[in-house]
Amino acid sequence: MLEKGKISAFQMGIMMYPAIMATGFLALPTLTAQYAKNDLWLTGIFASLLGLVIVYTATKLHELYPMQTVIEYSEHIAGKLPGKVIGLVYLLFFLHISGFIAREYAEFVKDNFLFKTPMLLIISSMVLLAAFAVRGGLEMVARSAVIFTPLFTLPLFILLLLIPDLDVKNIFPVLNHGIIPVIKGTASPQAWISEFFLLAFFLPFLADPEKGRKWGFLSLCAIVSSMIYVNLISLFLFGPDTDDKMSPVFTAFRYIRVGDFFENLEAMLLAMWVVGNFVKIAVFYYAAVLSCAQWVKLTDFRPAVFPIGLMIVAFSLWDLPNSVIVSYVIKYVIPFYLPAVFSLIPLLLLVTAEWRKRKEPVEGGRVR
Amino acid sequence: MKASWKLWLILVSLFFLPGCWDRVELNDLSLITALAFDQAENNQIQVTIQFVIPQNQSGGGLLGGGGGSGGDKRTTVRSEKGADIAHALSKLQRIMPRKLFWGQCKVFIFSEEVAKRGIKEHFDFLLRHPQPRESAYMFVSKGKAADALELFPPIERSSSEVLRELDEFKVGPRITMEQLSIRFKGDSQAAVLPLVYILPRVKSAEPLQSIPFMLGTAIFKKDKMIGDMSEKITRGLQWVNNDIGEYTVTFPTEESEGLISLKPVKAHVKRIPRIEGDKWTMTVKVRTEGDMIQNGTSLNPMSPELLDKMDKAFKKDVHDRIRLALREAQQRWKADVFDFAKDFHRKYPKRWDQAKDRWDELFPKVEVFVEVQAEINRLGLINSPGGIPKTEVKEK
Repeated sequence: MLEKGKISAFQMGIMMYPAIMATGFLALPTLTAQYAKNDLWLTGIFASLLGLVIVYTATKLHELYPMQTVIEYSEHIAGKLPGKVIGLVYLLFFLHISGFIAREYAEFVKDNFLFKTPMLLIISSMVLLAAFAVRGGLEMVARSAVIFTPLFTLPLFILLLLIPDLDVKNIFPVLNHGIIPVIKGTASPQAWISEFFLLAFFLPFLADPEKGRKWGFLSLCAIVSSMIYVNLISLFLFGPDTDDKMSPVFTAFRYIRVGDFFENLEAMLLAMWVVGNFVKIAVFYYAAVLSCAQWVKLTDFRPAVFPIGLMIVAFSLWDLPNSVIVSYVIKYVIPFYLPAVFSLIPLLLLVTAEWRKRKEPVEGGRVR
Repeated sequence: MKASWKLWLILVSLFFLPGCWDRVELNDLSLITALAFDQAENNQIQVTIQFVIPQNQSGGGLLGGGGGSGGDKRTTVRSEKGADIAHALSKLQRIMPRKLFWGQCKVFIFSEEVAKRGIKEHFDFLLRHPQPRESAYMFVSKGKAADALELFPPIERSSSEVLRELDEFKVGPRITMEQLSIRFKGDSQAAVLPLVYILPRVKSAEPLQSIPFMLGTAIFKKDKMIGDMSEKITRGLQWVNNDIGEYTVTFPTEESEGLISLKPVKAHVKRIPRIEGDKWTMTVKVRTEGDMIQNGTSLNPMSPELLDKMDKAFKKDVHDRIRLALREAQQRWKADVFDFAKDFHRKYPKRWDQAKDRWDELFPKVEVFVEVQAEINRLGLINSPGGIPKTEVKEK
């Protein structure tokens, strides 16, 4: 066993929240509004259906192959060589997507706060911090998530100060152009939700694995309701202007003004979102390190941490010349890229595993 | 091994801890309080900033309240011309020893001339640049916009602060940058902004000791100002938009000479759009109530019949004001400043999609029904009219 630490199912659920929403809050309202217009809040509900499937897949695969991550059981399910290929896909994917997440975070910080600071420094300081967390193992990542997630959810409550400025009627007319724009708008949220397959990397290390599915679903509920909530706040505040903002939640935060003194809160928002992004990057970073260690069958994952961090930094800058390209990738590539790895491969694995189980009930390469 | 690791950590953190490239000291910043945009020759724009003089800020409170004269001016202005706002601001930075800081900038004033040429390119700067705030208030000035910033108000720290405070009283329509942006993106393609004038100086005041204030509104169609509405018509507009704020309603009655004034007045407005065949109608239902603060007539409001007549006069006054604003907007300017378009869009989305390109022609033809329900609720401290003998009071 590579990972010695044990986390609880509750910690896992808490960890998933910023692991999905940290960049979700930044980009989702505007991405969904570009297609779904004033029906953007419905997209969260549609995306949650996929979330249910993915949480079920991850936990079901875990039941079939307990104590194993996707890198290990893919070899049992698909066979030695195809399994290795799948493992490589995950390894490269995690390297790339961790870099991309770090870049998304850095773009936001550089756009709005640190105008002159070089991008490389913003990214590498965050990745270095995440590297220390990952070196500490899963327990360390989970514990920092438990500390930081309440802080990360604080902006949701502060947004309530906007109530006097909200126009609830902006929600009408509901479903004016039918359901198609809403389904198009779901493209991005479902990609974010598909990240739930990260559970496959944490379930083997649970101290209480029987509660894994429950906390997975609870976390999904929290994430979907936060998505709907921020979408509604953006819609009520900005109406037809929502899809024009780079980050509507951030702009909404800038708009908060209570009395003559409680204003200009965006620096606070930055502080709270940075810790969320730290958890997100650490979680993906950890998945990348674990994939690597399990794929090449290392005895300890720690030596892989810093080299992989270096590659994450490289991936965050590689082939992404400017923020327009980053936005383009988020809008047009991510909705297919993430679900391909996080829903398509797991579903195929699950179907194959079930099929094998039925065909050869005794064999099937199960290792307990 | 262990020690060298720690040493390395300390050395690395030295690079991160000082605060990197974006560190700014407070005494390297200049706080802008307002921006004014004027038209300059050769299609250039003249940007005027009002910024605080930190040395003169300390004597605040009561002592400094009457100041604003001579050497202890709290703000000053500087201006530059440029091809666009960004260009002018970069030229401004050349004559400012400190970096411009926008966090406290809550007032943007366009001159009438700039507004009439269209503000879309200037507005893009305000929305796009990360520093100007979406919650800032927008104004249009009659005459030169920079003049409003060059005043030194007897109370309040700066003339922009005066405008902001006045705006927060809701003495006129209060429009933030974001609200204006929504209107430009929205269905009606029309907006209003408060008009700023400069109060004539009183005799005892120092030169330039005066304030800017708001009176009436500027009408925008798309991003261009097409005209202005008087204070009276603006009030009608505010009735329709359910935004009456701090107004006193004063009206005559048929039964007697003199006027009746009500304050505060509360209103509840409901707008019901309707499309029947090709006929678009809008019903504006106003339910309003007010407290009497002055009764210049000889009518005794304690008599239910007379109070009923006063209610009717109140109702007629509100009705006429709304009619006036409707006529002005529909017939004279043909601009949907009430945002009726939004109501139609919400209730009849399919019809709206077909008609939205023709809204400009449709809006003047929309038939508007005004239904007012008005009541006087309280009479203040006295009952029969004050200042006249009982015998002259009309009881019926």
